[in-house]
Amino acid sequence: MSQRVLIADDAAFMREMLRDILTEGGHEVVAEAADGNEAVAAFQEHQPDIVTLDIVMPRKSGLEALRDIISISPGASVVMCSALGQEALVMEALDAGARDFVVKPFKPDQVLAAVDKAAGKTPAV
Amino acid sequence: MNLEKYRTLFVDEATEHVGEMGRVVALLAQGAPDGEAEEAIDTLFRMAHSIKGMAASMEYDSISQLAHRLEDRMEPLRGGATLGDTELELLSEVIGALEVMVGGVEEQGSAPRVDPDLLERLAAAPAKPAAKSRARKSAAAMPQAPRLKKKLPRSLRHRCRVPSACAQKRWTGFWPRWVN
Repeated sequence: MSQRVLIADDAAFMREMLRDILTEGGHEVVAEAADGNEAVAAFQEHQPDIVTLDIVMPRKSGLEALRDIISISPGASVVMCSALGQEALVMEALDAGARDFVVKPFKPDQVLAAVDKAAGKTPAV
Repeated sequence: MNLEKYRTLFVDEATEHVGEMGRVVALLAQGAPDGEAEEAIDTLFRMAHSIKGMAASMEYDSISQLAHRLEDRMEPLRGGATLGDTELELLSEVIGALEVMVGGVEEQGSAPRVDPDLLERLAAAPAKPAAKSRARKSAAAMPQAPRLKKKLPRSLRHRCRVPSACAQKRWTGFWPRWVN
């Protein structure tokens, strides 16, 4: 089932890559954000089904954006994007309400599986 | 995934990041005020982190490795350190090397090898931060990894495991050292 997705990552390269993966996977990218502040604003404006949030972003981190989004919409489906070696931050994000996470470099099947899991509203663990 | 498509995007963005890193190192060398110095170090960390991720996605392992070492070097300095001349020279050298390597991708389509000596010097312990007690003004944008009270569930831990090939790879190539 096609999901409406908001992509948040400070790297345009990563946003482009994620956009292609999601589009080819049958999903619709409704908005993109380059930092945590933009991510929260875009979430409020577009009300996406799924949000992909990079953990490390300028101005407002992915974790802080996650908390803001969850406070706005407790049922929000958020997938965190992390790099290798960020287990502690991933754990904190899952505790704060993220549905799942993907580790860079992105593998299309893993990204799509994470989106499907988040869309299914089943707990990540 | 067709990685060739993203090569231009990688070169453009990595070039921009390297330029920004050069700018903030120059700022630090000029003796930026405390708040600006902290932000500059955060920027270096974030740019290195970003280049690492992009390079890994493109399988430019040497660039990813160098950026990763730089990221690891910057992390303990995010607490408000004052960088000495030696540290600033090393950072300048790394940024120069990254610039050359990204240029290599643009011209040849592949990432040149990284100087193993540079990697070793980056891995060596950095100079002790001058003022550890200084409060971070930009902490909100750069979360510190919290002390784990519990581990990731076993079912998820495998997703965060560093591939053994990356952890054990030893570079044997030679890349000319850049002197500013």
